[in-house]
Amino acid sequence: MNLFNEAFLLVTSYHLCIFTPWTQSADVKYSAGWSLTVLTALNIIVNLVPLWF
Amino acid sequence: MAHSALNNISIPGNVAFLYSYLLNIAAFDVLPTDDIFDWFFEFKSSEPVTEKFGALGYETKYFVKNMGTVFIVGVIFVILLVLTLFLHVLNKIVNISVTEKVANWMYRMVCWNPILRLLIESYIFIALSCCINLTEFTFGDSGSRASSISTVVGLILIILLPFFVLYFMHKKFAKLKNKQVKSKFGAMYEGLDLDKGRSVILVRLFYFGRRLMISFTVTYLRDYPVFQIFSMNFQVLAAIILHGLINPHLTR
Repeated sequence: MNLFNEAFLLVTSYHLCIFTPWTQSADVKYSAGWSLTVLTALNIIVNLVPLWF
Repeated sequence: MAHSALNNISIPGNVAFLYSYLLNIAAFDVLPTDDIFDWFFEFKSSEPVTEKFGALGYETKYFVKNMGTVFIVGVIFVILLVLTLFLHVLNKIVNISVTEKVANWMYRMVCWNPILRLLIESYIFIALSCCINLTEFTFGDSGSRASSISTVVGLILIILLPFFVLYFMHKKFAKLKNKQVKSKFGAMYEGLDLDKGRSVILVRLFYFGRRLMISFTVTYLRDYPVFQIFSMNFQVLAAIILHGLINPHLTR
């Protein structure tokens, strides 16, 4: 689980690169924002699952 | 995770919205602390470090206000500690079984494990609030006096805590599985697999170091977002390598 969380953080930190001025398109940034939102929701769900079972 | 949004890059609105909620949950900020603090202290208006800090809940530079509920819990702990000490002294003077029972119960409820857990869980909030307050370290009004004094206390705590954990875990490593030691200091190595040897101490130290690094980079390297992102990347990679090498946790 800890490795999963760290891997998720790594993906999160790669998303941050998209949010820098290196990426010019606001649409790409916004889409990356949704991608990060979905990933964060997934991470929260995966972390909650062991509490239920 | 939520603190990554404090880096000085333009986070899209959808992420900022989600992370501001996550930060409130992670900071256990459940009380209307701004109103409570205004009863006790007089605060001059203070701007957040950047707009992003403001959007994510760090709306001022005051340590007290940024800590919110955790500050109130900390103050309650200090009051309970003083009360416990008073009860122990009272017990030595009057020596009644009731005061002894209450004093021992208070000692079990307040000392060591609960305080250690509070410090460890809120380590990043204390470190970040200290870093923010240090950008405007003043003693003008009562609010900034309380914040600056709390910052000094917070700094002493966050600097001493890793050394205390290192010293304690290294010195008492053979006794860490002992039930009595665990009931007093278990919060320090909760979830760590002590059978992996003393290398698990490194994981706990890395936990503190990483949070200090995040607090420092988001506050002071805000003019260098590239360094902020690379610092975060390297921290995560180092954590993955450390976990891969030691596999320090009890549950998988």
